[in-house]
Amino acid sequence: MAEIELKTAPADFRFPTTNQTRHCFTRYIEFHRCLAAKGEESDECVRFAKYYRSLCPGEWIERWNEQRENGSFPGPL
Amino acid sequence: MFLVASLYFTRPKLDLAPAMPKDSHAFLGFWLVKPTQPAIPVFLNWESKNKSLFFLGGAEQSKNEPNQMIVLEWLFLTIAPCDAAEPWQLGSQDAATPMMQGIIDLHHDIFFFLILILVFVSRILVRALWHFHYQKNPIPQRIVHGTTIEILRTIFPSIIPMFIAIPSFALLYSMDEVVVDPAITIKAIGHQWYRTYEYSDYNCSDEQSLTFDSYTIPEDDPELGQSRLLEVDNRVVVPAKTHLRIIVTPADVPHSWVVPSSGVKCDAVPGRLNQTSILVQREGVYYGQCSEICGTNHAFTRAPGNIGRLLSPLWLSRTTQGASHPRSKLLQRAAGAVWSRGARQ
Repeated sequence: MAEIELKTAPADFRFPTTNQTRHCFTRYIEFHRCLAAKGEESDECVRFAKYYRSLCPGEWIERWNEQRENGSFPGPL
Repeated sequence: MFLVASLYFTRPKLDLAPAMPKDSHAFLGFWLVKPTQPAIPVFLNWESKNKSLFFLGGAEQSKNEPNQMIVLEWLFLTIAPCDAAEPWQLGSQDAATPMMQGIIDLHHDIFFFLILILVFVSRILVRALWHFHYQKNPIPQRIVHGTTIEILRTIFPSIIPMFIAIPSFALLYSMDEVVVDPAITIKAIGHQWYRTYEYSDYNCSDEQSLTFDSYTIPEDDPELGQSRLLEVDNRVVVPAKTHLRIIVTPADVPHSWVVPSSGVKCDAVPGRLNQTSILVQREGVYYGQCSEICGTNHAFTRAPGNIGRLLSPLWLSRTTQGASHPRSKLLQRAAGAVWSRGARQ
């Protein structure tokens, strides 16, 4: 049985306060920008995906994914 | 462990034992007689009244050994490490994190000044009342000006708040910022009237998630020894001695995620993610309740499940792999809940 390393999104100096809403949002945008820049299959974006999945509630991610599909996502992608 | 327990099964008076060590893991036997769980002493008395001591006798013991062990494990593992409020408790609950220790220390620091001021002011007041008497002092002293006393009574009261403010701010800001990288992120999502917990550090897609709901066990339903309106069906299992990031948010109305013995109180505001950081220093079961009036069931069916069975990171990693054999029923349930959710989603 392999040991699992405990790892999560690191503390980000851009978001040092209690309010982490923008941290989650920024990581989500970073991931999709990364995909756009490096291509869908790129491995470099995996860590951004891990970060936003760690930080954002599942419900939010679902909603944003829907919004992206509908083209109504409010953020800069 | 069995011997210790049997000793107390046969001594019904022991539930009156005063002032047992509160957080000592070495005194497992004493946990039974703490006033925290009123159900337990009753249970003990009942045992001895019915002279059911053969329950612990040699022949019975060998036959019923597995059953007894289950009973004892259930008693010790689910009740013993219980960090909940006690009846008539005055102070804080035992600290489980450095933050809570800091809060308790600050409280004591402030109380030093508080009592100092109380004694000093009371003395002045009582003395003035005592001497202001028409027979003893028919002509009161008329002091309208005194430079020295005025300087003193201006400077000292302004220094004392500084002694209070400096440790207070130090504590406040050390709580506010997360400087270390946490090892785990747990999302506590408040609902009316339960909590959803998400562990998503190991997700490989947006759909897959380790998510489970944590409901309070209703008032008429707790098992023997469970705390009323504190126990939940699925506990949150987190590793001890590890930096944890708790992300708190609600899905409907404002809630607040609170664990007194961890010194955490984090408001859950709709549309916002609040982060709080804890490092739990000892293993145990910690209880908390919602701290924001969140609707009809805020106080009753909802005493949400901020409950962690805190174990080593190794244990968690085993659980997340589904290969563990947790010994107690609750742990099995916790692990099972995590897995069934994870598999379903």
